[in-house]
Order: sequence, then structure tokens, then C-alpha cells
Amino acid sequence: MSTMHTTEERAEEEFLLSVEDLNTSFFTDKETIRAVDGVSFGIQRGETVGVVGESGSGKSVTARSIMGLIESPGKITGGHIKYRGLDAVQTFANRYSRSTADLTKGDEVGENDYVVVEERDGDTITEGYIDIANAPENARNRIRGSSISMVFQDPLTSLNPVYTVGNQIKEALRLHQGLRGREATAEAISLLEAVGIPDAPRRVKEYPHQFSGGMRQRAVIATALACDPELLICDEPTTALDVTIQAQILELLKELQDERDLAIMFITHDMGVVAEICDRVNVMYAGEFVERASAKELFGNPKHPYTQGLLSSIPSRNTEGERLATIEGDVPTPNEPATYCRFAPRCPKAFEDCEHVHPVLTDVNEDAQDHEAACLLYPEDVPQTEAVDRHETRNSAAETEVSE
Amino acid sequence: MSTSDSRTTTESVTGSDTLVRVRDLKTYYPGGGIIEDKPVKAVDGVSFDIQRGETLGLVGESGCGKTTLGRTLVRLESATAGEIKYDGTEVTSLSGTDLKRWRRNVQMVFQDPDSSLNERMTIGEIVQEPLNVHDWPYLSVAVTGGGSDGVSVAGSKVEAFDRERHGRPDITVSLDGSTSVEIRDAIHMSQADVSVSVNGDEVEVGVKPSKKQLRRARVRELLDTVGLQPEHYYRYPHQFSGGQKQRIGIARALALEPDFVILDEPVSALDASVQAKILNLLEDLQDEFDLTYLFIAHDLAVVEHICDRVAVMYLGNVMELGDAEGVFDDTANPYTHSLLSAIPEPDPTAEKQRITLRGTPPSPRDPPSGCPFSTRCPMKIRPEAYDDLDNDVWEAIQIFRDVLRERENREKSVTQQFLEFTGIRDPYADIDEIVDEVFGHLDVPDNATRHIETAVEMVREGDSDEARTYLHEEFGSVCEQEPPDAYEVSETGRVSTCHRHQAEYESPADYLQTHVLDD
Repeated sequence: MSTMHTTEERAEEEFLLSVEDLNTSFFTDKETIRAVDGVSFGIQRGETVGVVGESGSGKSVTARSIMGLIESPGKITGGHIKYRGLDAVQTFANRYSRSTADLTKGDEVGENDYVVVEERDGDTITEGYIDIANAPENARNRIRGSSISMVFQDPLTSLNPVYTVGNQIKEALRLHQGLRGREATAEAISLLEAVGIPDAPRRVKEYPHQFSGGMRQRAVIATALACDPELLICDEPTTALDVTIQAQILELLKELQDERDLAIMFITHDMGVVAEICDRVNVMYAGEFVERASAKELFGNPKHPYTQGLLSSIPSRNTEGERLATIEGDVPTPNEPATYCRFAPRCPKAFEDCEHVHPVLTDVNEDAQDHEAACLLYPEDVPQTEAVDRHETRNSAAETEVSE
Repeated sequence: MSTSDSRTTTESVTGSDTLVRVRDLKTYYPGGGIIEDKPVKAVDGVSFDIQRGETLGLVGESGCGKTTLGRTLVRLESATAGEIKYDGTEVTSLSGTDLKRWRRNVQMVFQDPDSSLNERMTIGEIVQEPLNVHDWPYLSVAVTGGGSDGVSVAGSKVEAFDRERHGRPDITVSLDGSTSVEIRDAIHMSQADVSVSVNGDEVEVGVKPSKKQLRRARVRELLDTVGLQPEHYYRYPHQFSGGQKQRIGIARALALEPDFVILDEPVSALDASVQAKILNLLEDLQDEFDLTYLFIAHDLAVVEHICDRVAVMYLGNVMELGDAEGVFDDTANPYTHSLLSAIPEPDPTAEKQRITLRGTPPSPRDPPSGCPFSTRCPMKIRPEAYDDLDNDVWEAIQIFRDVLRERENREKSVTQQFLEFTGIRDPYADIDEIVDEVFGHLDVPDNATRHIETAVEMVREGDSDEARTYLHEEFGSVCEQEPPDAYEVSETGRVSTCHRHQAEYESPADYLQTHVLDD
């Protein structure tokens, strides 16, 4: 376990954002819903990482956890969300020095520390992170909107109908960059132009209802870009749009990514959109990631039975006239710790062990590069029993780690 | 119009059994203005047939009028002009009891299962409601067999069968030999529940279960048909998932045993795997009950999967109409080409050249005078002199003309309007800058440059009107002048509405290859 960790950590250092074993639960009178249950992933600058899954699988909660938008009865109950944007780390280290652990000065990361400095060159921090999961509300507010922004599904509900579009962009500029008056207006106009909205100087004075659907989503993206974020979280940004407009928005996102070296986390249920825009893809099911791979690999060679089922249930050119493959049953509510495979009741390949061994993300085979599946069938090149053993050992290792 | 008429005849020969016949249907919403009262032309002259037992798909972007068309067919909206014949009956003029009776045959499943189910009613009540409204079952009794003529039917719950009113008898009493009774499947009674006594010319039929009981039994059966559990009867809509709610909507639509069901985006709000289940269910139900579907959707993959024939709509008009296979694999119309190329394929290795349309569809309040798609069409017909003009240059000329046209409507905002078509930044550029932005990076051949310069000169002199006319004469084409006819483009009778199908022009598919995609 320990050797594994170091390699993992080394890889993480390139990530702008790394999420480690994130747990977000909702506490209701009846039950505790583990909406995000031990999710880990990373996003590098300039790349697009997709999270796909059906509704209720926990995609949006993952995004909201990163944005610090989880509200009661929800709570992040464990894990780390490490944001490594150096500008933000520098600012935070200066502002919240009491909560900063400076490893270069021999500090240990304490319970309340959420800014960690790992390397510095004199006064300049060259490596470090902010742990959003442990940060208090006021610190989260600072990151949200300035370093990390989010674009939501429905552009009409994410814009306030009684303010002009310009006002809403200017609000973000005022809060995060301190711009006011004419300066803010000029910046708002140039943002609208950047997202391809024509005659921006007039549009900036218009209300959301005067915009078409695609135009509204462009305005929302402009608002999200207002503070020059490094990470953009897109939660189903094109689901409410027509295909020809969707194509325009996807093109816009790609352009903006190239221009600004944006890291994009892209949440969607549309496999076509994923294939189009994502470099790497995580498949989410009942609060867990069940498969991850590069987009090419995932679509060309899906390994987890859930991914296979999901892909074959999409009507496409080859299924004309045939019955569509379906996945039996419904997505379960993850309301207890997973000691088994949550997909097993619906899985066509389930066997006995699936009911009492919890699968963890494992390389799908010896040669697999960056392709993991959380299924007892993998790695596929070792005997079944050995594969199951591996999953079991890694589970208990994780448990002892937690109890320590 | 002549072409679409000839189509009608060919279709009525091939299509043996037309259930719905729509001709030149128009649905306009009146404009609210006091001085200017331009209507919104949501559906603007649409003609098609739906054969019994088939699924016709209706696709298009939002705002193209597909939902309005569907709602007009079930008389939820009233048609402004045109005819809708359902099984030979003119629907647009139905009223009163005729309308109510006709509506039993035509049902609708709505897109949003959340807003189409009453939160305060149980599932049982929701599915039963249409039965209550239409006083189902009639318990109509038909008497057959020897000496059945002139026999009257008596009984407190039953009524005599009348084909006009009931369509089919619920109970059939046969007087041949010993008296026997037959009950339709949808009505859940055993023969023991029905007592028949013959008194001379009067057949008295007694039915034991009450209508309420029969309705409840019918609801239970419907829940089972759509794949829900009996215990769901007493639950409320919020206790169901999206897929289950859509099943409830389908059960409600089937309650009155319709022949024709309009499915308005029935799976758009659902996840892929749930969507697959509902699509399979719809196919099963169609087989089981001989249903005819009008399937409205914007997801072309779904439409291709479930539909026999497809109509592609744009701005209130049908652009292409024909067998699904032809529409998708041997696409004829430029708009269909553009729409298909915009769909993201679930295959990251797929390399397809995308046709990116500029802008958004024009307002249906003020549609273009010629072809509805002419403002965005990448395959617009060019005057002969410019046939070999580079595609980028041609597109730039179109943009330039669009800008000037907009200037006419809004004198002050020429640059603003120009930006709508290009996304270029500086809104304060004057005409020279516009020309520079549009044509600056292009190598415009002399013959075109000359005309553009003349037009620019006119604009400079403040005569943009003249400039527009000049450009229109030089670069305009039939696409902007006349609405195209529907041309038959395949042996299966598929039709496409585009000027390019005339013999003198290059067909859209060829043109796409030679002019649009290769650069």
C-alpha cells in the first residue's frame, strides 16, 4: 500500500485539482445517503475530464462538493479536494497563515490546516495546495468563482431574470476582482465578446429573457469566466440546448480551453458529448467511480459491465430495428457502506463473490495504461479467485488506514 | 404545389390505409401588438400522411413547430388553415360531443412526466381519470344471431350498441341456439357476471360489477401492461422515478384504447438506460394494440431507431419527409445534412466533418421570404458567375449581405447586427472595417470585389437600400426569392423541399462533397 501511495502522489503533483477519497453524505431522518462514496480523481491544466452517469449517480454532488456548494443536510464527511493553483495558494498562505502548514519549515499538517505549502523558493511558493474539503465557508467563497467556476445545466435558472446580463457579470467582477463602474462594464463587454456574443455593448444592457437559449448559456459561461478561473466545472451545460447550438457551445468550450489553458470537469449523461469533448472519462454509478479510462479506450474497449450496458442501451446507427439492450432494475440509493458491488443486482455477469466483496478500481489488465475498472472480473489476466483476493486485500488495507 | 399534389396521389396508391391525412396545415399564434400584428407562424403549411400502424417521427430544433403541430393534431391548438383528416373525418371542424368522442381515439403522452401528472392524485386516480371523463365503459350490447333484428336491449347499466357512438360492442349476445355472451378483453368481467334474459323482443342484460369496479380493474391491467406493480395503485407521483412516471403517462394515454398516440418527446427527460426501456415498451405496445404513433423528438438517434418514416421540420415547414432509412443514410435536404452532422457520435475516433451553421433560426414571426432555411443554408444556390468561388468567400459575401439587410431594419446597429453573424469584437467598426473584417483575410477574386466595392461605395454615400438591391441582383438566387417545392428524391417516395433538387442545379449531397466539406 505504501509504495503504491508514493507513485500515486507523484502523479498527482501534475494535477491542478486532485480529489482523494471524497465522501459526501446527505443525512435525512430516514437514512444517510452516501451520494459520493470514496471518489478519487485528478484534473490537469488544459485537459477535459468527464464524469458520466445516470441521474442520481452522484455526478452533480461531486461537482458541488468541489465548488463547496453542499448545503445541509449534506456534508463532506471525508477525503481531500486539493487545489494546486499557485496564485491562490500564495494568497491563501498569506491571508490564512494560522491555517497554513508549511512543510518546508517542518510544520505538520494539523487538523485545522487547509493550506499546505510543500516547496518554496524564498518567499515564492512553488508547490502547495488548498484543501477545499477542509476549508471553512469564508475561504471556500474565495476560491469559488475566482479560481474555480461552474456552469450549470439550465441557463435560465442560473441567470437572475430581474438583473441585466451585464449586471450579473459585473457582480462577479466586483466581488472577486474589485472592478467597478466603467471599468467593470468594459470588462463585461469583452467577456461577452470572448464567448461569441454579438454586439456585446448592447447585449450587456439586456435581460436574460431577451437572449436565446444558446446565447444565455454563452452568457453563463462569460459569467463563469469573469474571474479568470483555472478550473471550469460544467454540469450538463448543453443538455437543455438543441444539437446545432450544442455543437456551437462545445466548440466554444474547446476554443476557450485552448486560449486559457483551462482545466475542465465535464459532467453529462450524454455519451455522444463525452466522446466529443473529453480527454479522460470517469463512469459513475451509485456514488462510486466504476471505470476510468481515456475517452478513446472507454468507448472502444469498455470493461465494466455497467459501462458496457450503458453504451449498448444508446440507440445508434447499428441498432436500427433491433430491440435496445437495457440494464435490468434501477440505480440503487447508496444508503449503506459498500461491502459488496452496488451494481451486482443488475449485472449480467455477477457471481457469488460480488455480493460480499467490494470491488475497487483496478487496472483492467497487466498492460493497461490508465484504464481501471471497479469490478471483481479485473484484472482480467489473473485467475478469478486471485482477482477477487486482490480486491479484498485492498479493501481491508483501506479500512485499516481509516481506523488508524 | 403541383409537385406535392402528385405526391399525394402516389402515396395514396402505395399507402393502402391512411389514418391521418394532413394537408397544408397552418397554425398561427396571433401577435400581441397593437399597431403591428404579425402572427407567429408556428406551423406554416405542412402536409403528410400517417399510415395505420406506422410510426412517423417528427424531428427538428426547438421552436421549429413540431410540438405545436402535434398539439394541433389532437385539437389542443386550433388550426389556422388547412385540413386534418382522421380516418376520413375532418377533425378541424369537430365540436361538442363529436369532438369528445373523437378524442377517445387520439391520445397524447407528454414530455415532462413531472408536470403532466397531478401531484395530489394517486396513480390509480390519474390513470382512471380519462375513464371517468368519458364514462367508460359504455357497456354497449350488440345482439347477433337469428331473429336479432328489431330486438331491443334493456338493463339498468347497459345500452344498445351504436357503431357511430361506441365503435365496437362491449358485450355481444348471440341468440343462435342457446344464448351465449361474449365480453371484450378490456372489460374485466367473467361471463358469470353477466346475466341475459330474453323476453320476446327485449333482451335484458344485467351486469353484476359496477362501472367503478370495472374501471379499477382496467387501471390495474393498464399498470401491469406498462410494467408497473399492483401496489403502485395507491402511491403518489413523487414516489416514482422519471421512467416510472413516464410509464404512468403511457398507461393514462392507453386507458381509452386509442388507435393513434402522439408521443411528444416521451424519452427526452430520461437517462439512457431508462430511455431504452421506455422505447422498447412503446414498441411492444404498438405491436400489441396496433397503435399508430406520431413520435416527436429532437434526438435523431432515437427517431432513427423507432420510426418507420421521418419528417424533418424547420421553422414551421417540413424540409424532408420519407422512410427513416433514406432520411438518415441517403440524406437529401441541406437542413437534414446540417442537423445530422451536429449530433455528437458516441465514438471518439469517429472523424466526421461538421457543418457548423451560423447563428440561430430566424423568428417565426418574420420568416424569410424564400426558403425558410435560406438564411443559414450552407448550400444556397449561387449565380452562375460565382459557381467556382471559394466557399469562405461566398460565405463572407452572405455575411456582408446579412449585415446590410439588418441595417435596413435597425439603422443604428449595422455593426451590432454584423457581429451577430461573425462574432467579431469591435462593435464600433465602420463600413470599411466591416469589409476588412469580412473579406480582409480572404482572397476575393476580382469579379466579386468589383461588385462589393460598388456596394460599399453606395453605403458610404448613405444609400444602403440601393446597395442591398445591387448585391441582391448580383449575388441573390432563387433560394431567397421563391419558397421551394417538395421534390421526390427516392423511389420510396421520399420528398425534400429544396431548390437544389431541380435538374439545373447540383444536388445537395453532391454539392456538400464538392463545396462544403473539402475545405
